[in-house]
Amino acid sequence: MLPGWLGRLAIVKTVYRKGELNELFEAALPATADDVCITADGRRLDTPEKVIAWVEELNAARSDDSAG
Amino acid sequence: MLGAERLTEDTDCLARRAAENLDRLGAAMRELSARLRVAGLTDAEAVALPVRVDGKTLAAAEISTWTTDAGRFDVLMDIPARDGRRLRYEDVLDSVVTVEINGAVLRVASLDVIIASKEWADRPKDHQALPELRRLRDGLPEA
Repeated sequence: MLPGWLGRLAIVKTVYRKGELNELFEAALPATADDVCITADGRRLDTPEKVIAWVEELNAARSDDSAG
Repeated sequence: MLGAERLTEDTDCLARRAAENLDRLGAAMRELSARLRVAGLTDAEAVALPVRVDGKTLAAAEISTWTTDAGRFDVLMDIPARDGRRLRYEDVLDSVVTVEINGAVLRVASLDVIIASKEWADRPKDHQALPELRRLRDGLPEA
């Protein structure tokens, strides 16, 4: 009898050897136009400027939380 | 992981939204030196961004795209069903396929779920990927 979430799993289907998974990502390329973060309120951060503004917004909210 | 030969070049992680889970995910990503992956920024520029990789940052994005020392890693809070409904982690849990890597058990979205999300996304790269995914799902031989 498996405890908790393990009980909801199907049986293991595939076993990957050490290093095998990394080989799948060796062809990784630089960021592309598809690499777009979308905020929880739906804003597409499709330029560096938008990403930077979002990061600053998050950090400002943290400062407010810690000050408040 | 489910047999497709076409590489997506990243790992998509559908995260359970619970705060403690996102904190754990953030901690694991910090171990892998995660930095945002942003079109128009080099990796060095992304490293310099003052981003705290933690549960709060992950929770603030529906989709966040990262680079880690282990490869590209995208965190999703939900994925689209064929009809556009947004499916959360709990919605797909019963249909996952489990895969073991180095002794760790991973839950991988089923081909049905992946196909549905790509049909909804409807991008050129999805159209390219779908025939192989459907063939694998249906157990058909390679054309």
